[in-house]
Amino acid sequence: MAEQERRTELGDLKIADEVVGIIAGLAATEIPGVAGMSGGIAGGIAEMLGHRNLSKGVKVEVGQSECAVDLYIIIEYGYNIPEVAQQIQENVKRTIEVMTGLKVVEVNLHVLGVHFPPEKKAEEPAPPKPAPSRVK
Amino acid sequence: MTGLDQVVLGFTALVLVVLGALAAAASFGFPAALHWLSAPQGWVEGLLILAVFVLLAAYLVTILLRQKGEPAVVHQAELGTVRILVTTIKGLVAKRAREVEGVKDALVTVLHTEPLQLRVELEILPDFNVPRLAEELQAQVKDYLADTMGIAVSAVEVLVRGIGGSAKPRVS
Repeated sequence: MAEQERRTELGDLKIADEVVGIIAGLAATEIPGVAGMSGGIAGGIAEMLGHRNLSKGVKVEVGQSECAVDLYIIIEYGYNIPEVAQQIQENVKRTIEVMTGLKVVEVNLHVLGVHFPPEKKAEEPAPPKPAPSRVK
Repeated sequence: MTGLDQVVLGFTALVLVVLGALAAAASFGFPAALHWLSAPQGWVEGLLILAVFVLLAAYLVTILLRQKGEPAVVHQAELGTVRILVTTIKGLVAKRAREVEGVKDALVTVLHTEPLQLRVELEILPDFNVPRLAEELQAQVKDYLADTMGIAVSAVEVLVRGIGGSAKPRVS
């Protein structure tokens, strides 16, 4: 696993690339309008086997002090894509910078699909009330 | 990922689990688990298994290639690029088109991405004026793409493929 290493006054600080990926994934999915992340084949198989991958749909490139992020997302139907995209980019950049101290140089988004809500079924007519009994 | 992709992935996972279980059973002293392959007619099953694996492998490779090479409309935002895949645009436009009064079904094709040009094939309901319906649809698709995706569409071709569904009842 690749790690980003920095030296502090009291010792070394190592942050794994996957940690940056998880931070980015969580920051992206908390934005309203994001239906989920798309992890491709590997992510699909991992989910079928019951493994919840928090960095699914995230690719990060981490250097000594900077990082670049690619996010593969599914948008919820009815949201304005450029607005949601801007909110994701800002939130991902801010969260990674606050939590890791890395400078985020770019957050590229790949909108892979739209999640449509399930169609509402037409209201069924109420069943007819039973006729009142003619005899007691 | 389409529904078929998910079915194929699920089937692949199932096949791998079954093969894993057979291999494990053979290694734990139950060689009968794999004996059927060495039976006189076992080569038929062997060839069938090989064919299934080759087909699964070919399909998985096509999924990978499709995901990598899929065309997209690209925006350059302040913090990075935003790529909206053509499948996303097609899905949204088809849904919007089906909401236009008089449209029963719609199939969308993206002809060009730069500038964006679409073709919408329609099945419409009877009793609607086709030119007026087509103009209405073109205007709604254009506005919809501008409002929800920030994309300026340069052309929306409308092709009426058929008329389906029931006409309005003559009596109320």
